[in-house]
Amino acid sequence: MLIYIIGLLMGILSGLAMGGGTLLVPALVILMNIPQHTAQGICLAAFIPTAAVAVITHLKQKNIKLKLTLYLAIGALLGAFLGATWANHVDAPLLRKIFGVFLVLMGIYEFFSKPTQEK
Amino acid sequence: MKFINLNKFIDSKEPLKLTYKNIVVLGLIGIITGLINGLLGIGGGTILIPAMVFLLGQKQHIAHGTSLSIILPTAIVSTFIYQANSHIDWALALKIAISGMLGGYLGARLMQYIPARHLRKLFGIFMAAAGIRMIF
Repeated sequence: MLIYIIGLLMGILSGLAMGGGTLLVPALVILMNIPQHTAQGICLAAFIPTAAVAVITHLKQKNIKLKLTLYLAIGALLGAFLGATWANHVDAPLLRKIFGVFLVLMGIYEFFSKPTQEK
Repeated sequence: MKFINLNKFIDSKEPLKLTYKNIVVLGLIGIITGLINGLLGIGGGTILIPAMVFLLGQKQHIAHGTSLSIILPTAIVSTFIYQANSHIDWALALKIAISGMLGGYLGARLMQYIPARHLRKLFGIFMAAAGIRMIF
C-alpha cells in the first residue's frame, strides 16, 4: 500500500512541475528500505511510460524542437552510458551519499528559484 | 544572458554551424544531463530545463517538451544498464508507474489551485532534509 501512496504523491509533484522523481529515490530508500541502486533503477524504469505519454502530448502541441533534441541527445546518451556504468561500480553507501549531496544542492536551488512566469 | 543563440538554426532548415563553441556547449549540457540520469537514476530535467532556458534562450514550454524528448531515450539507456546489473525491481516499478501516472494527472489538474511558489520553498527544504539524511 505504501508504494502506491509514494507513487501517487510523487506523481502529483511531477504534475505540478516540481520534479517529483527527485524525491522518489529517497522515499523508496528511507521509507521502504529499498537498496540505493534498486531505488534508482525503479525510478528510471517507472519514468519511461510516463515520459513516453508526455512526449507524444508535447509533440502534438509542437513543444519539441527536434533538431535541439538530436544535438543534445548525443551527449546525453553518452553521459547516461557512462553514468549508469559508473553507478553500478560504486557501492551502495557511497552512491547514497553522492545522491544526498545532489539532493541538498537541488533543495537549495528549489528554495531560491523564482517561479517561471510562463506556464 | 545566454551563451549561444541557436534559434536561427533551430527554427529554420539551416544546418547547425558546428563551431567549437556550439559543440562544447551542446555536448557539455548533454553529457551532464546523461551523467545525472545514469548515476543518480533521476530524470535530469532539473538541470536540462534551466540550461535550455538560460543558456540556449528557449521558452519554458519548449524547454519542458524538448527536455522530455531527450530524457526519454536517455532513461531507456540507463534502464538497460541497471537491468544488466539486476538493479531493477519491475513489480515495484510497475506499481510506481501506475500510481505515478494517476498522481501526475491530479497534479496537472490541481496546478491552478495550488500556490506553487510557497509549496516550492517547502519542497526545497524537504529535499535538503532528505539529502542530509542520506549523507549521514
